[in-house]
Amino acid sequence: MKVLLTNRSFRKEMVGVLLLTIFLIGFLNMDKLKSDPLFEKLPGAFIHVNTVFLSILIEAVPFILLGVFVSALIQTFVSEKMIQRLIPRNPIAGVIAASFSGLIFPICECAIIPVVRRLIKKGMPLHIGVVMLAAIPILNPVVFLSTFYAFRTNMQIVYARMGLAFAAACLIGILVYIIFRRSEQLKWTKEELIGQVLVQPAQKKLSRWKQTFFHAADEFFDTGKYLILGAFIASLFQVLMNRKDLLSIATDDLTSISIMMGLGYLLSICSEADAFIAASFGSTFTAGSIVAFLVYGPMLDVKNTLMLLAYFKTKFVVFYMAIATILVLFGALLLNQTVLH
Amino acid sequence: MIKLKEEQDWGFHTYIRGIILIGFMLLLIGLIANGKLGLFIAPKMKPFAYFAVVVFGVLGVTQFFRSTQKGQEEELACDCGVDHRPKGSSMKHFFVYLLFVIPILTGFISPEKSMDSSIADKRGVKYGSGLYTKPTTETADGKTVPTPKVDVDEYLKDPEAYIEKIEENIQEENPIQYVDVNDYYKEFASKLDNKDQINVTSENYLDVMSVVDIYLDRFLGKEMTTLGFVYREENMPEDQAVIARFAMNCCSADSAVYGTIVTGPDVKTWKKDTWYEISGTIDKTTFNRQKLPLIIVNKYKKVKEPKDPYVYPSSESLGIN
Repeated sequence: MKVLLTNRSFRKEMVGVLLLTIFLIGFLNMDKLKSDPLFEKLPGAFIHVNTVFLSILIEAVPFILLGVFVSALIQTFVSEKMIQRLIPRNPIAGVIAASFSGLIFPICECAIIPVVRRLIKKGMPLHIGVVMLAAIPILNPVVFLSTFYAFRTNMQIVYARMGLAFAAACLIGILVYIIFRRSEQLKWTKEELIGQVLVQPAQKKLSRWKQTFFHAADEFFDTGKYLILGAFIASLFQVLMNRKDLLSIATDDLTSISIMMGLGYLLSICSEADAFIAASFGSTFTAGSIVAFLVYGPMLDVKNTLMLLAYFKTKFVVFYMAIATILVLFGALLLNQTVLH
Repeated sequence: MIKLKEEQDWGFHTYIRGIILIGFMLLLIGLIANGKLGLFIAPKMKPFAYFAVVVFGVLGVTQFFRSTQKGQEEELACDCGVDHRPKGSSMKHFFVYLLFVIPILTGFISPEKSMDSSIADKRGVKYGSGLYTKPTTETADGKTVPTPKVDVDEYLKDPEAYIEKIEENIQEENPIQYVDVNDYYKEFASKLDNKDQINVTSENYLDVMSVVDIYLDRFLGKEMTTLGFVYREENMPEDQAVIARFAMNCCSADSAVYGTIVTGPDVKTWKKDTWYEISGTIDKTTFNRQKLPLIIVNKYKKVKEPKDPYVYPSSESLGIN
């Protein structure tokens, strides 16, 4: 038995060594490999997809790392009591307070999911968590500034984006409160449920910092796989979808709003940068549909849908997506008929 | 015995994960060292990538220590109540790790391509300033007014009455408003006023494009020198082409195409996606019912694609100094 075990661990050791060797060879010969005629012959579309795919990854990864670190710090250093003290008892007050939490945590949609999941695991009510998911990627100073610079000739759009995001996030929170109350919507593993009773700051042995690093690494692999898959799907749409064709079918209010929402979902652009893309669509789309793009994209896109599905029960994710879609759609229609007319 | 096996497995997982984290670190360092990072993300995002290099390094190294016998024993004593062990079959694990390994490998081997005409075709080129304006039309005296809603049915029923009604509406609403542009562009435009020759560089590209588009009438007849790749729209006359650049805000996924329409006798010989430096006189044209700057080319030369093909919004235009 002992021999078998060592044999087995030797084989595993070799897998790791091989992988590391491949990485090192790639690293040291990057210039040569990239200009190798074999790889240069790859079809243009493939190279474009790969470039956009890596772009999204390289852009999002630091923020995912930030998110998993904040989440790991919360796991290690914040107690459940602290969270319960901080959250207002009144659900409406709680929802409104949560929708402004982006002023304190100005993070985008990639980083927010691990943080919210951790907070909910630490006992934060579900409706508060959902409001944070929906509001923080939009109602924060960084996103406000980038929207302002992209639309400074049209301040109405800036206010409409912030206003619609606030209204939709609050309504989502209240609906979630009414329908799900305090029921459990996160996916837990059996071990976690047993451990839940025991959750308390660790007593000894593993230092808190070591724990934080370990949790962060585990969570990076947990979240990272969905980010990679989502980034890949988004890069396919980025490169292969013809946006000009979309413009030609956007004939009335409803279709142009729906198209822009679909686009926001599929392109999966970070909420900090999406205002510039929206502005570049220029005068082809109505103001309401631009606002819909700017509100719906950060709330939901390909990569965060995958992450949500990994962490929350499917029924809950479907509910969240459905109300977010309905609220943004009707909100944008209403804006088009009134303020932005 | 079972427990021992589980430990072994978890040790192996942390070991492989450590190597993958180091792989990501190597990829980022490689891209930074080769100067290729700029093809993926904008300069203002680079500090975040440096941060990621450090974090990947630290996480990777701690994973190695964690995978050792001693590290595993220590971890058993961890009371944090979180299940660290991954679930599922080894086949599933293989594919999950493959998912992480693929971008590292394609990052090492696949050549990068900056965006070109094939992407511009799909995204659509933005002419003039990147500022959002509501749909507008030009009135007879050259002023820009918001487009009145066109009701095709009503027009078909009685064209004359319909046109009359629209004209009435225009007068009633008195919608002639000048686009309110912020002070930065006003100042920028007045700086350019004194010059006869406007030099467009990668640094000032977006600002000059916006200003020349907004205050087109003030710049008519001036000389302009610019650089970009050749792009052609389907409905463009043969002697016209677009000299285009991709503008990146955060990463190449959010890049948009900006272009200037140029014309000249030799323009039809230009191949798409080749880079040209051109100079010529600023004139105006109408393309897709939009009033736009046009450059009448008098000098041009073929150039190599610049090392950094992208242009970025200037920090001044973003209000950051």
